[in-house]
Amino acid sequence: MTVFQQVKKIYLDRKAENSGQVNNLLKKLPNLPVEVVEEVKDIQQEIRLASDPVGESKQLIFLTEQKSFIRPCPCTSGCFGCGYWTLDLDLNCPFDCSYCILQKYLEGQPITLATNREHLRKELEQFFARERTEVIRIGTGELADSLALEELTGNAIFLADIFRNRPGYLLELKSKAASIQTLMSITPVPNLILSWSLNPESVIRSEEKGTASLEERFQSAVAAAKHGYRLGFHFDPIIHYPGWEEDYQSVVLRLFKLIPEEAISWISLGTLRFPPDLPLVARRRFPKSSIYEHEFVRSWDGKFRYPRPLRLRMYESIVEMISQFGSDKKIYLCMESPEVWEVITRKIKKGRHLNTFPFPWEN
Amino acid sequence: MVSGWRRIEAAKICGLKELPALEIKEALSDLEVMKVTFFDNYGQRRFSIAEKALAVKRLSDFGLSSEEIIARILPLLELPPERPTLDILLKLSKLPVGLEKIHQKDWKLSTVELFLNFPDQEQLWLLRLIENLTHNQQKEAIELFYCLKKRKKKSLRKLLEKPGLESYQKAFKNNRLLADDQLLSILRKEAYPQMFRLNELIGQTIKQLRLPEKVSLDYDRTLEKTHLKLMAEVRSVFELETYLNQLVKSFNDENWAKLFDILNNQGQ
Ligand code: SF4
Repeated sequence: MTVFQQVKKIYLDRKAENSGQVNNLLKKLPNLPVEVVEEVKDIQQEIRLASDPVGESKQLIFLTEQKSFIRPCPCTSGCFGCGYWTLDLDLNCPFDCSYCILQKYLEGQPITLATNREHLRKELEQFFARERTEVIRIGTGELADSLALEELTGNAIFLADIFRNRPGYLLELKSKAASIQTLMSITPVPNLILSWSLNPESVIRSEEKGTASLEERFQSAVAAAKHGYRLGFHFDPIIHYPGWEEDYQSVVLRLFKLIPEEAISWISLGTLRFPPDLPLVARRRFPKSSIYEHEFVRSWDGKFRYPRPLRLRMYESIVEMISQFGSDKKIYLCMESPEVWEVITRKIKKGRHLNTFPFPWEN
Repeated sequence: MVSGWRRIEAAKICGLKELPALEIKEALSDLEVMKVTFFDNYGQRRFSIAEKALAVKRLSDFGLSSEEIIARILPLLELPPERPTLDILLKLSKLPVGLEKIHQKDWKLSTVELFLNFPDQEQLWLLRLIENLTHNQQKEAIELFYCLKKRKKKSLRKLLEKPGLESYQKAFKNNRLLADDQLLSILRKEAYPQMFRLNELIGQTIKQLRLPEKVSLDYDRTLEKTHLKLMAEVRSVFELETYLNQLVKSFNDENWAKLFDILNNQGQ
């Protein structure tokens, strides 16, 4: 069963009725009721009537035109940012992670697919035309999962084609899915990084509903690497629980057992963090999850995080595990403070050095 | 008369003989009368969440559909217009006891939602236990109890067996009220053990430094920032020099190094 088989209904924005992708998308979703609406509010009203509006929003698809697609990654104030750009082709995601901030952030937005991706092609041409001195990283995994709906949209191969021959621009497709069939059917693009979020299988089962298992993610990564793609991995969010260290150790061991080190472009680390209004909705939706019942502090950007000493211990431990395989220089932290970066960077510099992919932020 | 009793009373006091009125020709249903009177009152003052819950329950009893309540009434009540809000309000309105206390302390929707997660018996205990706390303290206590209960997988009664909380347990059994700030500090210590321990250690270390009387140290209690802030109350260059000299002399004290070690998470 593909993830989009959970979809109950399609809504089509009247303004997008004649838009480029509409027919293609509708053809792939036969036998589903289609309703033309004037605006997204019409759908949101229905979503709000459901006992679980967020869950409902993941079963409805809205086809519409996006005004613009590219923006600098919103990181958070006070964070040591990594200069990332986001490319938002889809909004919302068919998967259902207990820690997902989209539960609050999207406020009842159905899975929204852009029907005017040709417009994105133009926007990207302008983006490429700007003068750059550094390598640009850009990705689609900010407000959606990059590959969850690939069988339906084909957005990954659409983007792969645009980014081919744009060596100064690294396109990252970040996912918890295993659907790479479309990407396997094309010649790999050297500046396309396929990346997977990693967590121990126990965390995947309890907190990442609907996503591919850890082994499925690894097997997809192995196949992608064999095909010639470069890979990224994100330990994010790292969850603290009794026995976390052994569990993450097994993930790291499995990663380096299966994936050739040279295929890995980067590995990010980020411990669990969330805005104050997320636990209420997440607790309601995931009563069995206990990730929000840990000790947290409200940090500089208003988000809750594990206390800094604990975060440091967790990062240091995982960096240590990764450095056993000589990949520590490929590590960066996601949404962390300069204080934490400083300690971890020292640790990485003390570790084994390998000549790997030069990050734009490295001297 | 659907609405306006108080305005008539006020007009009489002011000596007015006539007042403009709106005559409604068609017969109003109970539901329509209820809507007019409620929203007429709603314009006069802020309503508590308990009052909003009762009003919604009334509207629902009079036959107003859930869809209409969610789409039309909840936005007027400045509440998130979605089904979970309606479910919470209806559940709250049916609370056997305690609604008045929730009204008096003006709880927010989020506190109510968390509170309703406790089993009925525990709700009663909890209300008694936190009765004397302020609105914000009640909110915090409910959050901490919720969190600890789930984290430790214990009932409220078992949680209260924790050393330091026995007096609360006893008070429960004897049906006496006993609640104060102490409850919150015990709960905080229990819920934030790491931060509590580190802050305590920093506090002790600062004390051991025996700083000059008018000099004090401050730091980020969340320990996200690693620097110390040094403050001195001085009225002259002489005083400043004196304090600085005293401080410089104290640098041999190993507690300075210990303090920075704790802040920088070294050797901990
Ligand atoms: S896969 Fe990503 S976008 Fe989808 S629910 Fe999980 S965290 Fe959210």
